Amino acid sequence: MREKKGISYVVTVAIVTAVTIALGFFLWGVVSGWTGASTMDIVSETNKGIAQQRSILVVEFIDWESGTVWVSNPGKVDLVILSCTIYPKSNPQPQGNYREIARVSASMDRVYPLKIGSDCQLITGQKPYVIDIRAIASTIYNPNNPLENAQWMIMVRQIV
Amino acid sequence: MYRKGIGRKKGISAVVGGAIVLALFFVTVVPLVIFMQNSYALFLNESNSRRIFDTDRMSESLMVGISQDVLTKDLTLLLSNDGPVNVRIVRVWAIDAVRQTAIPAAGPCLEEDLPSLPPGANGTINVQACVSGFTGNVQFFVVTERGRIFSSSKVYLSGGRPVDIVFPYTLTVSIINMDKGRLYEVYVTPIGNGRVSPEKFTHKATASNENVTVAFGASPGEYVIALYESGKLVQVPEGNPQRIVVPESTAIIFTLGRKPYETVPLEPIISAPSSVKKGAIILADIYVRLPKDADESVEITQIATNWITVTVGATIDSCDTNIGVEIQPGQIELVGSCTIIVSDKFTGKSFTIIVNENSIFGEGVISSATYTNIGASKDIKVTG
Repeated sequence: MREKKGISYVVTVAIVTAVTIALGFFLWGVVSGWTGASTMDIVSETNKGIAQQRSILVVEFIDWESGTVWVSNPGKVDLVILSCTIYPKSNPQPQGNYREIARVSASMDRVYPLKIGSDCQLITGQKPYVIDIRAIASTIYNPNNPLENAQWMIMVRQIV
Repeated sequence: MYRKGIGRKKGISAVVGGAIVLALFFVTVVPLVIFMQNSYALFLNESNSRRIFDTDRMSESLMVGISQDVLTKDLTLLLSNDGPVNVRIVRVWAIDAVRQTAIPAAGPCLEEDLPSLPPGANGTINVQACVSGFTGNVQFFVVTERGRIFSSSKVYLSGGRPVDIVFPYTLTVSIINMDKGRLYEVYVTPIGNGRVSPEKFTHKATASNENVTVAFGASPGEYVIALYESGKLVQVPEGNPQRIVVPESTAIIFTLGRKPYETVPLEPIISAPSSVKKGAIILADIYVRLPKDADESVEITQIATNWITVTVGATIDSCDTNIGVEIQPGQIELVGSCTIIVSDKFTGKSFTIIVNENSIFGEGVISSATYTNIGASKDIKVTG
């Protein structure tokens, strides 16, 4: 009677322990899966936020005679220019059509030309004009997801 | 005792199980929270870094002036960092200010060997190479490492050299229809950063309806131009004083609007005997009458050499003229006397003394206008 009780106790403890460990692993798996996904999201969002903070674009000069917009990048991250539009200030802002136009390195040692007509869309009308340039950090640029790019773009808009 | 023992062991197992569950929960959640906080801190750090950059960028201040090297006469940019942060210059653009295009070629003019200016420091950049041979208005843009752009004022160059580096523009002020004897003063007063030379012009009109145009050297800026007539501000339709922005506008005209003096013809009168004998010598006095409706007195200034002639049979021996005589409106004055000899072989009945048209000249005392005469003649009978 005593032996049976003793075996029963060991088995019971073993079963309970096994079940507890199994439940533990299950719980760990669930929680780590959830936290892993969250971690990836957090890393991604933080990276995008930081990349956006590091993005700066400057329009240095618009050469109307040669039809060139000269831009430079004093920020900390390379940029991909997605749209460039010059339109009369009196006109409504035109709809954006995003495509990779040029890449601008994060260095003020160089200035980059954007050709009016091919790179920059010019909508003629009454002066003054507004130049509107959209760009995104190359580290977060996703050529397959324009909507995502639009969310993290920076915009340069000035009267010229 | 047995039940008691069994019950106690079961209770301990549940607590251990619960503790394991809690441990697993915290082991996974706490690092996640720590990671989230760390990520947030990274983002805040980056935001703070950007904020510092933006603050530094906005604090950049650079004064860009244009000057000329004293020795080489090369065009030079004078840079002065009057901000609290270091300014490193990375690029200089030279722009044709009228055509809005880069010179001398498409693209920036200077990109190498450019200075870095600590707060309070001054520096120079030789930009002669950018404008060599260029004629027109040029402006320089200086780009800093933080992406700020500072511009110079516009300067007019001819063949790559400043025409007048201090006063690149000419401001002309015209005064129309001045009143003789009045003192006219023009004051050009800069508003803001404009510079002008001279700032005052004085002119005393020596003739009525006189016009004068004076040129002032001016730098770009806004100016007030005032015209005073004998110490009083003149009322003119255009307004006085007038405000002007150089180089958008570089000319001012004050039209005083006085009625111009009109000239009238001088009327010669020949005073000589109506009949003479053959071989006689006579004296002919020539007077000039100024019509009563003349606006001003006239001073006789010139008499032509062939002002008086006689027909066949008589000759002019000599003439005296009276230059400088002043004739009042309605008055008659002697302007010349001629000795005429009648030939003793005179065959006709008379000869004629003629004062030719436009041979006597006078000048209006007020207007300085030129007056001249109409023709006149007198027949002299010749008897045996």
